[in-house]
Amino acid sequence: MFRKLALITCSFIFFGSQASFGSMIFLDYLPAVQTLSPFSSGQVAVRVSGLGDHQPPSLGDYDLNLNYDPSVITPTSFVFGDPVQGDQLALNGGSSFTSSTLPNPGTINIQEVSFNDPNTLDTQQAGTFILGTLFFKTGVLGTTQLTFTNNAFGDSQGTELPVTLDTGSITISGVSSVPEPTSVFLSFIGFTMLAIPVYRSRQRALRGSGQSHS
Amino acid sequence: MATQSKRSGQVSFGALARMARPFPRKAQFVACSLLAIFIFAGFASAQAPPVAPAPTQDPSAANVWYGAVPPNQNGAAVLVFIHGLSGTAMDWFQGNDMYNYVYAAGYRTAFLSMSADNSKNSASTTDNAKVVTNLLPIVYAHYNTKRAYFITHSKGGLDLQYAMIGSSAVMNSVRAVFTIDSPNQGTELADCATVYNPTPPGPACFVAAKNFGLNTPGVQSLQTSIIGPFRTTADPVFAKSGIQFYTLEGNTSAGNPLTAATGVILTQLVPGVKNDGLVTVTRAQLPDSYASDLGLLSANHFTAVQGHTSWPIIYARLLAKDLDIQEFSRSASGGFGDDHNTWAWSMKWFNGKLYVGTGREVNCFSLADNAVQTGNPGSYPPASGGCPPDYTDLKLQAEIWQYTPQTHTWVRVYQSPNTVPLGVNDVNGNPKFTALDEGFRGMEIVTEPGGGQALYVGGVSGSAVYEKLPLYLNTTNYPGPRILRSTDGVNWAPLPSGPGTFLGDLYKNSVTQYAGAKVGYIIRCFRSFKFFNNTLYASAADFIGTGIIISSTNPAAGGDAWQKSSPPAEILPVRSFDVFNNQLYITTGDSRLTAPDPGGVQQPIGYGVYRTSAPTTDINAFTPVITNGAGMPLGQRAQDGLSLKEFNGQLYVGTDRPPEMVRINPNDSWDLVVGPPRPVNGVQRYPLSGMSVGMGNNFQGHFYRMGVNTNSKEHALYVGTWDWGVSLQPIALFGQAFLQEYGADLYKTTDGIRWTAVTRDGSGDMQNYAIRSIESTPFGLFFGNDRLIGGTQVWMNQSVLDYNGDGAIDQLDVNTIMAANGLKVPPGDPRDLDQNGVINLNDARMLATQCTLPNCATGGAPTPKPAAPQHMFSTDIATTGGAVQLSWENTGAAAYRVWRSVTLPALQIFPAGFTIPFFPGVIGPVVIPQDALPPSGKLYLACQTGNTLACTVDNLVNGFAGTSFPVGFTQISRQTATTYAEPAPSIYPSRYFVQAEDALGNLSDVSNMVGGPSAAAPGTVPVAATIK
Repeated sequence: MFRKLALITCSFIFFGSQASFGSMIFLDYLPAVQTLSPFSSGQVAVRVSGLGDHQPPSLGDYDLNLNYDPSVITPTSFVFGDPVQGDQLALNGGSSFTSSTLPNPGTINIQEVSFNDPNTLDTQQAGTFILGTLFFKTGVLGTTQLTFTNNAFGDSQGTELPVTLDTGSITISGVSSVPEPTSVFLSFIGFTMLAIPVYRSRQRALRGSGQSHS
Repeated sequence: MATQSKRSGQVSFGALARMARPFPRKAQFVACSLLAIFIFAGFASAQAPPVAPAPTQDPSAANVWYGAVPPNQNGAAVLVFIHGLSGTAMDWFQGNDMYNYVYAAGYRTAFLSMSADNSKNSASTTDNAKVVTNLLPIVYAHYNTKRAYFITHSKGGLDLQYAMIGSSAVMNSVRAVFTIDSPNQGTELADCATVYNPTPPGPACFVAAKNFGLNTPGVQSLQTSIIGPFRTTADPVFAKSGIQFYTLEGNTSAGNPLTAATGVILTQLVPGVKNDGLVTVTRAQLPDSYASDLGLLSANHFTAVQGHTSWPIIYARLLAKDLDIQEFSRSASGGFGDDHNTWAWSMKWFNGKLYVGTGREVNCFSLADNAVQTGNPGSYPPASGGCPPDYTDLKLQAEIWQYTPQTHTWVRVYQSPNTVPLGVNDVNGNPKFTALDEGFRGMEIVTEPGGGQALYVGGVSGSAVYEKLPLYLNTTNYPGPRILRSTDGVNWAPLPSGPGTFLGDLYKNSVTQYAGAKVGYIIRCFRSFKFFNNTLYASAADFIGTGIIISSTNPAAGGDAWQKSSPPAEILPVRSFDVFNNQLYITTGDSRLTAPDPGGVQQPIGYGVYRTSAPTTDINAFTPVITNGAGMPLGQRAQDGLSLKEFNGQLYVGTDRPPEMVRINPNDSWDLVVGPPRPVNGVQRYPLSGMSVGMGNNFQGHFYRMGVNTNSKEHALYVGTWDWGVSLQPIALFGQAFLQEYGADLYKTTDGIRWTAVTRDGSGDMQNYAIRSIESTPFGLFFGNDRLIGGTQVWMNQSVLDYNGDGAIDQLDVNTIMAANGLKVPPGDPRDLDQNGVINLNDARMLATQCTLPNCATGGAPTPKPAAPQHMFSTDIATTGGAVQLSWENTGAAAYRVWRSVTLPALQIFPAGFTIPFFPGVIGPVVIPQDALPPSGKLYLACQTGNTLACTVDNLVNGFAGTSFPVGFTQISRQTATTYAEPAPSIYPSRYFVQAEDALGNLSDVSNMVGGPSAAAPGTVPVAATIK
């Protein structure tokens, strides 16, 4: 019975993921999972992937809520743009409107509107890039889920893009800032099991569209 | 009268109809413009201006010369003059009265020498482009302005064009360009002067050029092989820029030793084409997709630049354009790249994109229809022009174009198949075919039974012209009109309309019904559409546009899912309809439906307006609101209702010949807005606007289409016109009086009473003779033009996106959306660009794609203007006793300028004995009026045999709506008072507006326009109580 249930569950995860990933565009946290010590500093990036790589669809605007447990982390700043590729919504010497606010405890709202023309975005924007990086302080012990709320996510012309929202988590561990070997091992096993179908699915989707995922 | 003509789908008979016929095209225009030789010389000599103060040099740039600023003209437009090959700035003011004329006209001027030391310049266009680019900032700084008009001679026109292509700063600073004798296409003389050609006269040309030192970089840069590629690059850019170009050409090489000699060579090189000694006429012209050719000058290459020769022509168009309100910019030109798309016949916003249905060669097709259907074969082909000699060669595949605002791109999404056999062969023996649709005339969005939406488009069949070819003669086999449908704007399919079904047999049955009838309504198109009460209503009409209503609650099913929903057209001649007050309002009228006037002459019964909540074939289902031309006497009634639009809770209706306007209230009462006073049911009605037909301009033939635009400053109703003055353009002689008026007018109002002329000159291009389609969209108000040459144009006004009203779309406006992020709004909120009911960042992104400057930078706003008076008022004629009394609100201006256009009888403008020395298709000179009079006047007779130009002039002389026409606007007063009075300058009301002037001399846009004396009701007082 358990075996059957597991199969069904796995099938659901796999095929469900595949169907969901058919839209090909993802928002996720990077790293998706991390463990930090109490009262330390940390950061997590917001990444978009699955856009056209120097081709449509490209991202022209977004308005996202990053949701977290305020008892676990306290945001200090949000820095827009990809640390390596630069702000992909302000290409070719262009600029963008950006805003990050804390509308309520547990929510950071980030907004960006590109002032580039659609052609620039469609031909010069990478397929995967960091929207920005959240810097925070950790609090006491605990784990916070990181989720997204999508208020707007538009392409180069301002048309809403379908996007799959991934989650992440941050764990504040009081024992040590370095995970125990067994914990590392178990976590590795667990995340690997979860990640494989997701990774394969993404790779299939990307290969299918002939896009790189650099 | 045995004539019938159709344009724009309007019926026209008799004398008025003749005006509606298309006039010959560019070639005829050029040929007839020879008349200017005599006219403008005489015109200029009679008004030679005094000598203007000498120009002075810029202290830091010796090759920049500034003309004196005329008194009180510190804020006047700046005109920059650029000389030609081997010229200097002094060419414009030494030995040339051009500067005197320009100074007298009140403009600020700058004259540029291409050589820093003011020596004669023979540098290349690329080198001189750098000079222009470097000097213009100096000029702009001197005059504290951002933009200027440019008047260029010869190579100077190309120096400027190269500068425009090379510098966006230069490009953005150009308001309009006039080129005089510029070798815009290069010149063959430069070819033979710089490259040895052994074929005569090549050797002589080459040697002569060498001996005279003419093989210079400047001449070399004018080779046709060099300019040709430049044009390939530049023309699309200029077309897209929206900058208006005007060209003038000299037509003789005589009068100068050099041009006399070179003219002979040039004639040998290019036989059969007139030249000015250095450039042929055709090489001096620019594509008519973005340039207006102002015609030929009686001058050689050097005398053409004389003020008395070319300034009167330049001034007329310059002034008209300068008085336009700069609200609209050009979005498309050249018929979307195919000048056979002559009309933007329909327009609709659907799923975030704008769709335009084109009419193909509508004027040629109309002439062919005229020839075929009326038995007046002389109508086709026209004596000259762009229509093919054989109308079976017309290129009639109508198209649908889709505009994506975010990318500013137009894409053709449909082209009608060329699959209708004509039963005749081409010269190669191959069978000829024509299109299933020669135009797409109406569009509507339908919410279909399943809840989805689709765009429906009504086609126009070619039956009017081709049904009498032997293959179809005496049959009903010609394909009827079609309705296309698309749910995505990309994939289109005709509604099912197989033989034997209602929809499929509409044409067939109408042919049968009206066989042998004197007046028939053969269904050849679907013209008007409205989705109302879950039903799609369409007018199934003849080519003129009169017909019946058909309807369907399941329109996609086609065939028998449609039914007839109005009585026969003889009873209810349906033209247009729209929804108002939760009912369907229908305009009616047909000039073929007549009644005898007191003299026994058959006259059109006039237009009407009916309403219904449920159209049926029973006339009792329709409640008459207006009948019999709104009370005008027979013979003076507007023949049909053309346009209608709800605005501020009232339904405005515009008519066809003469164009008058009424507005209907929800209780069925109505007001006369524009038109002559008349008694109706014993009560005298007066126009609320105080203006008579056509806003006081008898060149207006229709109030053609209406639209509403709302921005941060105003909520306004717009009405576009058909201006038949276009028909006079081939006779350059008439330009002397009317050149300022050529081109369609566009008026706007915020209260239905006070009307302001946004443009009176076809948005600067006199070939834009009608505004046929108007559509309000989240991205602005769009309108499409009718043109004879150069292909249709689409214009847009994006002030709706300028939320802060500073004249530019930039980050400040984006911030407005950001501030409202997440706000739920009702339909129509200008910030909700995607119309999803919520303002969010997608709307901001959409707005960002529309910014004036790159990166949505601020700083793109134009120099602020003083506020224009909006409440100019003209006291009614009864109160003034016939005088003109004007008043307007105090806007705090330092001064006000009063402008007036006098309306005069045609024969006063062109007095008896006025002679047109050469008239196409008419032997010998034409003398007005006798040659225009029936029954034996030769102009009259020429008209009867199909000479459309003769008909136009004949009509001008013999009368239309009072036989009066407006001459151009002139400034008649500069004053501090807010009132102006004068004896009426004409027996007809003149038109007036004012401009406010601030302390620096900057001028406002024009105020609302009034007729003086006003035709408003006695005792009428200004409409706004806020007048100070």
